[in-house]
Amino acid sequence: MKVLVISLLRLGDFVQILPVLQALKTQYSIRELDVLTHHPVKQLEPMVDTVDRWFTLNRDELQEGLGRSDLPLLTSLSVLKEQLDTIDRRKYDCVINLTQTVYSGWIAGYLSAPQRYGLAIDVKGKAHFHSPWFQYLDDHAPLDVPDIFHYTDIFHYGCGLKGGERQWGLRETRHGRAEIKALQLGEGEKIVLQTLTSDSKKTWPEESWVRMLSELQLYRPKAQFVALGAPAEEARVAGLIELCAQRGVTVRKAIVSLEGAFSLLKSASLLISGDTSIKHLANGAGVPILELSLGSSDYRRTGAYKEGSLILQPQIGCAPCPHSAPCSRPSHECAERLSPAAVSSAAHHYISGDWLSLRELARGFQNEVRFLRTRNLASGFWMASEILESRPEAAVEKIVERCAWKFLLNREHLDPVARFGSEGVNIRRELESLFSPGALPSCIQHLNFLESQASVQGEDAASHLWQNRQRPPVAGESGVVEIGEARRAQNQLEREKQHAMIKVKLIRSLKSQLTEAK
Amino acid sequence: MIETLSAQSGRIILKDGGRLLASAFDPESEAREWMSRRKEFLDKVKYVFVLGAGAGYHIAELSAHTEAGIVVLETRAALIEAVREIHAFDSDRVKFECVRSAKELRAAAAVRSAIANSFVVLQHGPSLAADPALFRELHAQLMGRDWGGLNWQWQMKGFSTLESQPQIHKTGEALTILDLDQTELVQNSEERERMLVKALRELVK
Repeated sequence: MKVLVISLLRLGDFVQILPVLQALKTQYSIRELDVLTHHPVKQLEPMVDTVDRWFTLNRDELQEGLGRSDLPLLTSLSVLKEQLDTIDRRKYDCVINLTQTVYSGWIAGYLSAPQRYGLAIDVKGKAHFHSPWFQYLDDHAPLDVPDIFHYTDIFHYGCGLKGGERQWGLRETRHGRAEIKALQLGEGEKIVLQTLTSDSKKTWPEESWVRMLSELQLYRPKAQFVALGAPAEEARVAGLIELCAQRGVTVRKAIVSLEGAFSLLKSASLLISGDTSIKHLANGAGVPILELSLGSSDYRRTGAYKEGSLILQPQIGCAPCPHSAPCSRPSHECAERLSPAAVSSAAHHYISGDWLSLRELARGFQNEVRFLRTRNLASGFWMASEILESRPEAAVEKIVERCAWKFLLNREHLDPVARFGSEGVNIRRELESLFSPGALPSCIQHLNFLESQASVQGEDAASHLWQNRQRPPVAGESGVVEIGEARRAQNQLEREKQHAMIKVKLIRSLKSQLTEAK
Repeated sequence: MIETLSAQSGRIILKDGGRLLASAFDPESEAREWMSRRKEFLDKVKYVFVLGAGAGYHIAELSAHTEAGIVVLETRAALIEAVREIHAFDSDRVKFECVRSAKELRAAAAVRSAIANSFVVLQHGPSLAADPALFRELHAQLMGRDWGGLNWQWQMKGFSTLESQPQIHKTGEALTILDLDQTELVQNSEERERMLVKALRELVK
C-alpha cells in the first residue's frame, strides 16, 4: 500500500502528527509512506525514519508568484501543477490530509487516490471529510467550543488508527550531537528556554523571562540555563542573554539546527517554552515540558502532548485569541498576568516532581493563572486538567463527554460487543487518580443528573428526527428544494441522538463501577 | 555594428552600436551580481526565458544556477552568433531565438515548447536598450498579465478556454489570480485546473 500524507502548515504542526505517521506504518501494511509538506518542514528529514519520501511546496514562493507583477501570472499555477502531477504519477492507494484548510482541501482533491482520509474538495467544490473525526474537527473549529480533542488524537482516530499509545519516532543525529558537544555545556542540570515564538501574542516578554530566571537561579543555583534559538533568532537571543547578564544571571546561548535542538532537549532536565515547534519536538525527547500558553495558543488543541507536562495559562477572558487578528486589549494582558514569580516557582517544583507544592502554588495564583497537568488517559486520548480541580463533577462530565464522542466518532457503539464496561473501568481509574475516595460519592449524584439530562437530549433529538422525516422537503427562497441541507440537518440530529444514547450507557457503566468501588 | 573587445579581466566582451553589453572590467563578476538578484522559482521551473543575449556571461551564470532549459530571445542574429563564438553553451539546454515581433515570438518553436511548461522571465538590462519597445512587447507576452498574453499561454498549455474577460481590474491593469478566478473555467467548469486556481486563490486571501 502506498500512502501520501498531506500536512501543509508549520513545522510544529508536522511534529504533532509524527505519532500518527508512526502508527500508520505500524498498524497498516504500508509499503511507502510519503509526505507532502511545507518546505521548511523538510529539515526534519534526518530525524524521521518513518517517512520514505518528502515532497514539499514552497507556499511563500507561490504567494510571491501570485503577487508580484514582475513574475508571469501562470508561473505559480504551472509550478504547482507540475509538482502535483509528479506526485500523482506515483499512484497512491490512499491520500490523507492532516491539514484541514481550504488550500490543502483543494490540493488533496486534485490528487487522485481510491481511498482518502481528511478534507478533500472535489472539482464541483464540495467538501468531503472521509471520517466523522474530520467532520468533528470542522464542526469544532470555532475557538469558543467548550471542549475539543487534541489534534494529535483527532488525526490518529481520523485515520482509523486504534489504541492510545503514541510513538514519536524521532531519532537523534550525529550532526545534532556534534552541535551540542561543540557548545561545551558540561554535565549537570540543564534548563532549556525557548523564549521566542512564531507570533508576538504567544511570546512572553523579555523582561519577564529575565525576572523569572533571576528568581529560578535562587531556587536552583546549580542549574545551567540554556537559551535555544534558530540561526535567524540569534540577535534576539543574544539580547536576552545580555539583559540576564546585567542582572547577574548566566545564560548560555544555543543557536543550533533542529537536530541540535533535539539533542539538547534529550540531555536537558526541563524545557520552558511557549507554543512552539520546539515544544512539540520535546514530546519526542523525553524532557519534562513547562508550557506557557499565551495569546492564540490553544492548549486543548496543541498543548504539550506528553503525560505529566505542566501548562500555565493566564486567567483571561479573551484566551485563546484568533491567530490572524491582532491583540484586542490595550496591552498584552495575558502575558502581563503570567507573573515571573509563578513561573519560576512552578519550574522549581515541577523539576523536583513536587506536585503537592505545585498544588499549593496553583492555589496562591488561582485568580491569575491556571495550572494544568497533562494526562494520557487509559480511554485513549490526551487531556489537560487543572491541578487545583476541586469539583469532581466537572472532571467527570468532561471525561464522559469525551468518551461518548470517541465511541460515536469511532463507531464503537455499533459493535455488538461495545466496550462500555471497560470504558467505565477506565474512567473510574482516572477519577481515582484525580480525586480522593471521599470525593467520588458526589460524582454519583452528578452522574444521575447527567444521565437524566442525556436521556432527555436523546429523546428530543429522536422526536425532531421523526418530525423531520414526516415533513416534506421545503423549497428555499430560490424555489429550489435544498435536499443536501435537509440531509445535513437529519445527520446532525441522528448524531445527537446517538451521542446521548452512548452517554447514557457510559454513565450507567461508570455508576456501577463507582458503586462497586464503594 | 557588433564589435569584440577585451575586458580588464581578460574576458572577451561585446559592444553594440557603441554600447557595451557587459562590464568592461569583469563581466563574470557582473553576471554573478545579476544572478544573485533573481532566485524565485529557479529550482522549480522547467524553463527560463532571458530577454537579451548581452555578451553571454549572464547566460553562462544562469545555466550554472538552474537545471531548467534556457531560451534566450534576441532581436539580431549577428549578436547571437557573436555570443556563441565567445561561449560554448550546451545546445540542448540553451536555445537562442531571434525574434523581431510578438508574432514571431508566438511562432518560435522553442518558445511554444517552453510556454507549455512552467517558466520565469529574466531581463538583461544592457541588451534591452537596443530595442526597448520590442523587448517591452515580448516581455508583456511572456508575463501573461494582459488578456491576450494570458489566453495565448493558456492555449499553449493545452487547457480548455478561459472564455470570459477579466472582471476585477480595469482595462490596462496587470491581471492577477483574482481575474483568473473570475473566468468561466474557474466559475462554472469541472476542469481539474480550476482546483489549482482555487487552491492558489486561498493563498492571497
